[in-house]
Amino acid sequence: MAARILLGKSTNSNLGHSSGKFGLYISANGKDVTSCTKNELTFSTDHIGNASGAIDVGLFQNVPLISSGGSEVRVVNFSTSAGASAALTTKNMGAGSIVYGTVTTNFTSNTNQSGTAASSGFASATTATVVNSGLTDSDTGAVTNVSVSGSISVIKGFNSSAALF
Amino acid sequence: MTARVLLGSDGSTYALKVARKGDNVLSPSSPLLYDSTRSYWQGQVYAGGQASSTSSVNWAATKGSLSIGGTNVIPLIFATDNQRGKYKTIASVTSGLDGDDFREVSNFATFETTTTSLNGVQFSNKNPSLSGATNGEYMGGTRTSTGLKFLVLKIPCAFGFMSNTYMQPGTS
Repeated sequence: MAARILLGKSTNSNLGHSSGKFGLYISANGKDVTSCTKNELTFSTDHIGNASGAIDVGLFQNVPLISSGGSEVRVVNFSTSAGASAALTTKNMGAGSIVYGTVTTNFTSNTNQSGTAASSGFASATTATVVNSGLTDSDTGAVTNVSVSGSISVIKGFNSSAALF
Repeated sequence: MTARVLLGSDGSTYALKVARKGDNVLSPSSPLLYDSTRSYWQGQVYAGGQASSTSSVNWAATKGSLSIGGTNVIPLIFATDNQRGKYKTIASVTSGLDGDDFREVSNFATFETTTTSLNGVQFSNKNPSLSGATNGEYMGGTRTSTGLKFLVLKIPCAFGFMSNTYMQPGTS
């Protein structure tokens, strides 16, 4: 049976650990974590940053939001009037997370209407903000901004200042 | 307090398992947060970035393309921008629509991904009296993405790559 889980000091040269590196490393079925390649890892605590050949910078992770009742939830609803924003409270997992919103409003009026659940920036440590701005149609141009409702979730960020990482 | 983390033998193999808050890792009632016995990609983030305004980002410029099994794959990319929204427009347009036609587009922050780039795309004109892609219809026209934020996941997600060769680590 191959050794698949290493918690402690790795000296696997294929992972760049020849000098020894402490962490948690898990390899795929049938692959030895002490000699596998980066492509054969399914989990790694290495935070390699922008180094060439880096495999991962962390795990895709949902940030809990706090509901109006004070519970931890994965999604919260919001309502915003035209041009306004809504601030939702998150669990503090550090600043720089990504706000992912959707608009659920059904436009029943016989007029041109639009609304967004976009975030003008990254979330702060405890607040995720969505902004309801107007949208533009490729034919008609700007569409009248109206109030909308929707829901958001928040995804853990990694580096809010880097254009690429 | 429930036992949420198991590191060691689970009775059949050595593993690391993590249960959800309030769930027992030895007899979980919900899917585990992490299970090393499942030998598939675990949502590792390979790269990411942001742009204030762009129609195309070379997401591989820093890290290089994502190579799995010796092949550069098209990855699953989580992306959002200022067009996370919905609009409805009715007739009176210069092309594509006429008369009583209308279109309602939901959450149209749409993107095209390749082995190196993330491109903003939009829905093109749809004239019901015409048919076929040569009339400039369907989705695929480029658009400028503003307030773009994205994460590239170490998960293949494209025709030709969603097979055991690429979806299971270390099989080739």
